[in-house]
Amino acid sequence: MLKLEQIGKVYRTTEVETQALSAVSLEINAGEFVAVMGPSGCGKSTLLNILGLLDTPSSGTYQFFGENVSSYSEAQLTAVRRAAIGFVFQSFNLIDDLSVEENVEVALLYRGVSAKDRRARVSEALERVGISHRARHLPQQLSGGQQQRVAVARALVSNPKVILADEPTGNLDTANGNAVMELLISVAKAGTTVVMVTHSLTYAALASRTIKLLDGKIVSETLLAA
Amino acid sequence: MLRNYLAAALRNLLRNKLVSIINIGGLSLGFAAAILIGLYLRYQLSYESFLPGHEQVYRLSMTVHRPGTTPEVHDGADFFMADKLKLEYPEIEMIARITGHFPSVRRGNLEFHENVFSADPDFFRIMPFPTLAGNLATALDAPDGLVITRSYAQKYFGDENPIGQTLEFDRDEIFRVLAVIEDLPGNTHFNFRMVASNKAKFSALRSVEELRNRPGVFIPGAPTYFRLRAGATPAHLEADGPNFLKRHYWQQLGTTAKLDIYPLTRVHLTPPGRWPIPTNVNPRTLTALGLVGLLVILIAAINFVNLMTARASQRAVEVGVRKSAGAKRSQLVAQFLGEAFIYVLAAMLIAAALVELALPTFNTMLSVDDEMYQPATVTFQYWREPMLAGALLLGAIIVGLLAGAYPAFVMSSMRPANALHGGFAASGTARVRQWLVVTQLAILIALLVATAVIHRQTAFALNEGLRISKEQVLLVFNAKQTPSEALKEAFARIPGVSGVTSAAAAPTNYDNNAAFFHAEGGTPVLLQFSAVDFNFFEFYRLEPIAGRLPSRGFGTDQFLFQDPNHHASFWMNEAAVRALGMKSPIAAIGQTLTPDWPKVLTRPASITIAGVMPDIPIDSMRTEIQPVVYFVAPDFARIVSIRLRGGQIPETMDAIEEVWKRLGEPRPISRLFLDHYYNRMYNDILQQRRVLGSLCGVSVFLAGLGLFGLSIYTAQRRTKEIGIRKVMGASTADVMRLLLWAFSKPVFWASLIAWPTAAWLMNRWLQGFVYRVDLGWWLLPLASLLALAIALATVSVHSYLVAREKPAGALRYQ
Repeated sequence: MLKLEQIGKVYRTTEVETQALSAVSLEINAGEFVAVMGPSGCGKSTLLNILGLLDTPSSGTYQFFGENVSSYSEAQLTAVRRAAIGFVFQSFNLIDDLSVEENVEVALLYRGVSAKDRRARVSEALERVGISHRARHLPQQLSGGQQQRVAVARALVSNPKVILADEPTGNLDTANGNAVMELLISVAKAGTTVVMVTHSLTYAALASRTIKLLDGKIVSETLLAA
Repeated sequence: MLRNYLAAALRNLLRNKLVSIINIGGLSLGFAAAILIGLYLRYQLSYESFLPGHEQVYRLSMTVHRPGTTPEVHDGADFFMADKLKLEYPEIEMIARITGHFPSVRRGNLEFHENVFSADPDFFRIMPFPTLAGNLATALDAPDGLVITRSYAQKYFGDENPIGQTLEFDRDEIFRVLAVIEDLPGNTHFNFRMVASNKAKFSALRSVEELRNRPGVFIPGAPTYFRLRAGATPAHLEADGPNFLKRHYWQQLGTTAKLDIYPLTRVHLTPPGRWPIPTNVNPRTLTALGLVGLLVILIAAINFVNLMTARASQRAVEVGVRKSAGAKRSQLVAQFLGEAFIYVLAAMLIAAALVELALPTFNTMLSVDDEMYQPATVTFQYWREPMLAGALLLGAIIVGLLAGAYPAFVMSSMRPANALHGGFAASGTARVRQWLVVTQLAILIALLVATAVIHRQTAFALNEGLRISKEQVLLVFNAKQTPSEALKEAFARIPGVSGVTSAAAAPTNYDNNAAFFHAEGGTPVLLQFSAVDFNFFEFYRLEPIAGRLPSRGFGTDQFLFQDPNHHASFWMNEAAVRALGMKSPIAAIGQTLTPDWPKVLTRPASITIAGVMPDIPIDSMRTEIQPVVYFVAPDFARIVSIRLRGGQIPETMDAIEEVWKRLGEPRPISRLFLDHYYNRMYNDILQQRRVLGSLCGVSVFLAGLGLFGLSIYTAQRRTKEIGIRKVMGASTADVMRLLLWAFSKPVFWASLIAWPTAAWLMNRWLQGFVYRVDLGWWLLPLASLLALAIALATVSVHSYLVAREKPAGALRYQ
């Protein structure tokens, strides 16, 4: 379970101070599929970064499956991330110099998995997202939809507890977007917690809960009608 | 794991081919230059190491410093010192002298003038050179014994066995070849091809014997080598040197002399003496070269660091992804360091290939352009020398670590959030890169200044500083006879000859003769002798500062030896005027000199100063001009100087040879162009100039390469900015100005660093010359301008292409 209490995040430069998040409190249960919505600049990506331990809050506490990670060092955060979190990004963020299977493999490289096991699990993940036939291709050789599927495979291959998706369909057309959403839903059904930032009401409706942010604060929460 | 890293590294390399080539290419060039310098330094430190037992061998020479004059550094000891030392110092196992001569050598139809040495019998026992035939150790025991090298055996005997066969010297003496040694390598200060025993008639070792046991004789002309007994050191001899000199040379030298004892392996690094050996090197030069080698690597490494760091923004996504997948910082550092090593190792391999290609040319650059001296033989055989291969690997590792560390730390420090959401700002690194470029440019400017100063000093030494007119002058050497007037007149009549004169020594050398004189009421001063012909000064276009030139119209002008009734006129140089304590050159005219010679020598009735000539630098710009006294004695003037008119030199040379055959000595002509003579004397600076010039060229290229690579990245990074400016109305020229200004600022800062450094260093270098050019302060801004021009030239092409692009293209990139 993910528990945020009074989380605040301030970005400071020499001259400007920006309050990205302000007193955000939130609980996400294991296995939930949560959508986060809001206009540009409302703090969605910041919230996701904090949830995903890519960034630390300026104030408040964050309990990640019972661990208080709010004041963890970078090294400690890395350890937790390695064990439990997968990411899917709007701009795919594949490594241009690695092939599809090598890109997916990166998620296992730092988890002490043997080469043999890595190959097996990568194969399985690629199969699951339907992209095995392009295993040796480079990202530049794939369409947007295909690249995002590789990104999903990379997020899945380590069997994380949480998948955080930041506008996963933002750069995709409807057909590809639908395909990615289907993957995420199936992942959530299998028991992984999924938190997704999205602009699309249609896709948000597929989640079990939608949280709306405005100016760094949660303004509403909607549960999916059962 | 490794496969993943390697795949990323190699594909990234291929994706950015141009910059990768620049990166690896630049580093290879830097490595190659540094390797060549390293090989050269190793070569210099390996002199004589091919001789077994060289650790116990030393060379003896002397420095004499009379009060009021500058020290005379001799390359040898007094001729009779060796025997005295052997008697008094039991730690000396063996001692031997060696002297050089130019007899003619004949076998059948072959006859040439050769540089032949003669040595005491122990010489080859002290230094057992690699022998091919015969018994080297005993070869010089026989009075007619001769040792020759392999190529000379080939020259005179072809494929026949030379042992026991004979050669005729000076058409007078027969010698038997009793041993053949291997040709000498380049890393030795010896340059003999033939060595005869000390009983040869042409040998000074024999002719001085008649002066043995004469009181008051001091002839410091014999290079002397000795071997110490096993386990002994020269410490006692060095400490007792002054006492030894007091015991045996007090009358001649007083306290003005000291013994110089050098280990054999360092003889080629000793300060230049009266007769500087062209292959000698100033140890300071070696240090300077080592430093420059490091600087070149520094420039190449800076390029490397800059380009790798500039790439950071390209790898931001990868770093973010790997970090979010759980990579520790240390793992990322290891990955990027590993990549750096791949580049560095690739560069080292290419460098090794470049060095092998360049080695023959390099050896030519280092060799003296004179067949009398062996060519340089620097080798690069890393497959046979594990130490060398190890050193190359170690060098690659060190450079890889140092140069790779910064980019690795920069890239691994990226915060995943920043890296994944819009790229890496890298503001801190831009500063570091700027300062790296400034350092590079500072090194470049300093090198440009250094090269320019060395060039100016060399040109001065070889031309202006000589103060004599040396164009197209040929020296013709006579060994025994004085050149007759008929010979000189015949030379003068050749159409291609514009003047002929003669002197006892080459024009800016004095004979190995000196004697004491005093002016009226003054103290005795040692003055060097130089016997000249009547027209010597006119030939070399020297005008008297006071008094007149020699003339046949004056009976006193020609010096008559051994005539106590003769009133002689002498000429002297400015240094002699000062040494004798006379007020001025004009005041010297008409004054008399009294010789303080040993009683055995007849003095003339009187010696009067008839003229004072300008100082001309003797031997080298490094030593101060000695006081010289000239007297007209054509009978002793054995070296003929012939000035050739421009054009048709080959015909003139043939004519000269023909005249020689008719009227000269009965042996082949022995001649040398005066230019050649000076090039030999200044060989070390000429070499320095060549090597430094090449290094400067390499540095310029590397710096330009680095700037070019950087400009690619800068333009990429500023693409969005450029697009916006163009949308706002900036022209291509405006954008170019913007980009070029970014590369001009570093030149300003670099100048602030380079100017004082270069000025101080080059001033110190110039201090090593008594006669020198001034630093030339205008060189400093000139070097900076040149660096600026190079910087702008390298980046302008790329900047133009970028500035020219349509704004939409630039903005769409976002």
